[in-house]
Amino acid sequence: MSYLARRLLLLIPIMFIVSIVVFGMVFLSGDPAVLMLPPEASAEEIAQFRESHGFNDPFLIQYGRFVGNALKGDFGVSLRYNEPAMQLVLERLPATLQLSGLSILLIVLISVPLGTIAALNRGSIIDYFASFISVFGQAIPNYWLGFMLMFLFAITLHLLPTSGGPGIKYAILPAITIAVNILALITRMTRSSVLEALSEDYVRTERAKGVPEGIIIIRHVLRNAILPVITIIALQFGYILGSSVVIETVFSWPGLGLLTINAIQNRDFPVVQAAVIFLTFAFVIINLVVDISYQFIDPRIRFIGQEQK
Amino acid sequence: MKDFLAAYIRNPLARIGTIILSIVIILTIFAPIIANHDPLTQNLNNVLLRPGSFVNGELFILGTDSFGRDIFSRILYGLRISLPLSGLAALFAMTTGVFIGLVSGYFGGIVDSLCTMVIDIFLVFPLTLIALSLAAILGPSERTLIIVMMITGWMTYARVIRAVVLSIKNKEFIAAAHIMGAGDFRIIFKHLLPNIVSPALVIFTYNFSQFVILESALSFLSLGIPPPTPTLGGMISDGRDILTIAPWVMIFPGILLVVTVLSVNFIGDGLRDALDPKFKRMV
Repeated sequence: MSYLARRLLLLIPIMFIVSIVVFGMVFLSGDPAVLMLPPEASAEEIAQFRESHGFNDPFLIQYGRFVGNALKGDFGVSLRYNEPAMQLVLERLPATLQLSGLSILLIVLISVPLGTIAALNRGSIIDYFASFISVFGQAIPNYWLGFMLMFLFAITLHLLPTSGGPGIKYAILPAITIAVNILALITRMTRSSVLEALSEDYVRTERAKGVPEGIIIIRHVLRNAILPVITIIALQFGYILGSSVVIETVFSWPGLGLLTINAIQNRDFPVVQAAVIFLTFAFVIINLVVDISYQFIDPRIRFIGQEQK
Repeated sequence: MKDFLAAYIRNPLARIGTIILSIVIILTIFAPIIANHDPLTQNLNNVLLRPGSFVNGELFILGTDSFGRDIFSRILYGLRISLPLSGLAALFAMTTGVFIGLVSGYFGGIVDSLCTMVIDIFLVFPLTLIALSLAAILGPSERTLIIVMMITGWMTYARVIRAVVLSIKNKEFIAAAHIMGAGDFRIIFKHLLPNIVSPALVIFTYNFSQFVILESALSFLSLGIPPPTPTLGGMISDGRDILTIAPWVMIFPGILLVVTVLSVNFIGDGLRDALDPKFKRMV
């Protein structure tokens, strides 16, 4: 079976499991009718509500109804905002995408040059600085770092706003916070990737031919070293989406992550269901696209992949 | 063994990490003796004292929070919860992952395909989201944390152990053992397991530090261990509203998190480099 077909098929069990988890959430938290009605509702009203909304039907039938509606994009109405759940999710999506995009931009602009320069100047101060970032970036809990950055730049120095959005001013600190954990990884990867490319035979050949070092680096070393780095960055997109859930909470950035967390804490089930299913689906698709395109970018991978079978 | 210890000790970062982690562990174990206050007692007269405050004959080394509770003591007791919890979860994740990796790699065929598929499914999930949703369903508690951590952590073990098993499976000594009539169990226990201990141990250290951070993040979101039990993540959450007037409530728990995770990571790096440089690629 082709790689593509196999990966696409995986979608089914994944979405199935997620939908069960997300659907079951409502049941495990207590009587849904009690949760959805105001506290003053009488026992009759609760029973009536339960009947009319189909909560008395067997689990499988309710689940089937849920899936049927979900496939149409109908996740019910938010218990808090009185708007269709999926609509809320889609409304908040652009803000999160902005934040993620800015984070990726920061990551690429900072860690790729840093890693490259570190590799080219082993043992230099830049190299130590890069190692320092790699080590600390991985160990710091990003939400705590967010608050520390907020404390330093917003509260103490008054350079940036503490929270809110949208707008570039508000996006800087959250984007940096999200980026730091990944910066650590990418800097290290870029560094080792460049080091590996530098030791390749063709570099020696070029040097022997008398080609200037600068041209060797830009035209040959970088081009080959970049490949694995790009893949890793693309794969981090899912991690970025996941981190944004927490970081948006820290900075009150009005995105999908904040919406999801609030919905979870407020037991706004339709929104939680819509958000988690949407995010999971997006996450899986992105990973799939990255995997597939990587096979095209570097044909060698295709063969290695087939060997492992 | 002696070579390994020599290589490990030579590594400066590993030395530092080991020393610091030992200090942290000692603080954790002897918390009841070292802490000079009860972590749970509220005292509204001592609200938001600065670090180093000396009030009524009592010293508050790292200050107090908005309920007058001593931060230093709370951090120590918080470690008593976070560290064993993360360690236990990592142990469970390791057991599950190693088992699946072993079975998958050794028996091959359909079993392998099935296990690989399961591993892939788990890996493609947005784990943070699933962790949050599960935590929300199960409610904040230690058990929730362990379950969530196990679900998000076993895959790395499985993948790496499977790769190790696959690479050893075809070596001559296994074939020799087969020919001599050794059964599957004996081969697994006597020949495969010793080779698995090293990579599993390295993964364990990184896994452990991941879990420490994950636990703090969940507690921060009120989805982990419920108050008033002190946890590092919970303390960070407490310090949120008073960041402008009492930043120490949030700063110190975070510092301790960073220090602990850093030292464990250094140890992990040291183990990895000392045990076998080949691991650098796998882990």
